[in-house]
Amino acid sequence: MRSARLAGLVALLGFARPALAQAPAGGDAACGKVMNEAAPSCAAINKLENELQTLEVKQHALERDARDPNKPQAAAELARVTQDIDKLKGQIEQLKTSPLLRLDGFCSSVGPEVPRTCDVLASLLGAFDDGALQPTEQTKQALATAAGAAAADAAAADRQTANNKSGSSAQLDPVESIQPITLAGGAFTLAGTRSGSKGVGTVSVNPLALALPTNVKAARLVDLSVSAPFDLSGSSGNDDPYISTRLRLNIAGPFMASELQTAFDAWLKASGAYADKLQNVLLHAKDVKRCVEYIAQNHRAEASACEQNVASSDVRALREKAYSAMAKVRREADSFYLGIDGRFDTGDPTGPTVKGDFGNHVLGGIAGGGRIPVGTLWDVELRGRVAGDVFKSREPVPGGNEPVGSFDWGAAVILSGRLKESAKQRLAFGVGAEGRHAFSDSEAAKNSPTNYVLLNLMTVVPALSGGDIGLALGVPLYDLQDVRGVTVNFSTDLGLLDHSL
Amino acid sequence: MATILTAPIHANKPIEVNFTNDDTSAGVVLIKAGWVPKQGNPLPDIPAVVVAPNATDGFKTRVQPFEAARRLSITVSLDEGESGLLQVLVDSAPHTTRVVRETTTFEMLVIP
Repeated sequence: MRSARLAGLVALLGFARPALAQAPAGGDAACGKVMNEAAPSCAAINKLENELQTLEVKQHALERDARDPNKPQAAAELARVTQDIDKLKGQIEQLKTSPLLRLDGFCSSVGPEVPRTCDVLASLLGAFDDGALQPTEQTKQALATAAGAAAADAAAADRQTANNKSGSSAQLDPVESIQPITLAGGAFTLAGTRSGSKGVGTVSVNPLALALPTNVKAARLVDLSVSAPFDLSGSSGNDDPYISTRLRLNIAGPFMASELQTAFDAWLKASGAYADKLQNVLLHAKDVKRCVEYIAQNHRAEASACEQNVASSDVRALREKAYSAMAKVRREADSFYLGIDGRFDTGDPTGPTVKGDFGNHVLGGIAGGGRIPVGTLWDVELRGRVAGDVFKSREPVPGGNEPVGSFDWGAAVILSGRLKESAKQRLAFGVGAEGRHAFSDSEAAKNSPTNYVLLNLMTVVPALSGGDIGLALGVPLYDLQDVRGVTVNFSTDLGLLDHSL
Repeated sequence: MATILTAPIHANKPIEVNFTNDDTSAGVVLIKAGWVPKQGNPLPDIPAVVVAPNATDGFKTRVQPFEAARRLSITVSLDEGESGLLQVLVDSAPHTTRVVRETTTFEMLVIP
């Protein structure tokens, strides 16, 4: 039995011999030889690279310590470590005597556990496209644009308009944004209404940002605001209590990544296809070492060294697209939004002057917007809202206290920006219109706070304290019922913004 | 913008990637990873991760089979002046710790 198996094995080997004789000129053995030849130099390089990485982590920690006045020795230690790093880098460069060794990190990828095959060698060489040689003008331009855009984003700190006061007498923005506040905030508003001057306090909280401080995606999802006025004109006894709650749900954020995924997939597939082609080239190359060195140096294969041409320019182009998509996603996360606007009010926001305004309001709708950069310092923001509103009066009005349904809308343009790139505070000027129109022309509808169009104007300027001051006007353009008069409000934040928490 | 090969990763092992965005960073850092396919094999997506300044976030996954994937490619996208620390654990053991100061793609060879 055993001899029969042995005979079979011998027969198999006998058949295998001619097959090996017809094997490609290169083959795995040649690829393995190239990898093995690099191994002795890699041992020395890896030792120094490991030291370098340890020092770089140490340097990173020391940079933080050096900013701490309680750690006076950190700066000197940092200087010493930085010097050691420069020295090590010089030593490593001297050891990198071949194109293969000069591929960044190549040596860490060819330990003894790594198979010595053309498949693996192609995976390593395929990690570098020809864009790795030197940045193209297009790449430089894309990077400069991305850096400028990100700098603008970074400076766009929350301002007091991040507090949601929509629909109340404290509303500052011509149409409120649906983007949730970053963490928490508060605002104090002086509102001049037909029934007198009022102070309105607003507190906005982003519950997910507070509960999950490291999850930015969740933090962009929802916030809740509560506003309540107090009378400043000495007629407080006549006012009915009023309180409003606002919920903003930003549903656009989670869908922003699809474009990035598409760009990234295209790059990864192209990179894989490039490595597949390199594997084939290496398997058939007459002089594998020469071919490998050519690919390592030029990030492509050429017939003069490898008997075949394989370019990596398509990989480079797709990688650059993926990088741009990443930069764009970072910017878009703050620039475009679509969400749900929910409000519940009870009481009368303007006081007792207008009969029928005292009641309960429920509003639900969709709001969206987008910021369009104008240079690096300014942007134009477009906002819109469509919603349904139901109001039920809580005081006797002609036509009875039946619920009144209305169509609610708003549209605005806001110009906002900074005077210089390093500024954290922003100027903003806005103009917009909001309206509400009852679905029926019943008596109850005629005596409810509906059937009107308001022109809203806003100015926000930075305050010396680091906060902002806003001034807003609400001018009635049309009101079926009593014209409620111009609303003027003056608003400032309470210093509760996330940056000071 | 840099491309760096790191130590290889063994197929089918659990891998955890975390990035700590420094408190000195002005903006968010985006981490996007994916598998470089071998011979066009379909491979699962890895969702992008956004890391706020002074925060740590990342993802956990499992290394794809050697026959299907060439590399795990992790791109850390950040702006000039920002920095952070990338830490990779494979099979719960430290694998890579790198300071990142520019947009960098870390390429991890998949081995059997």
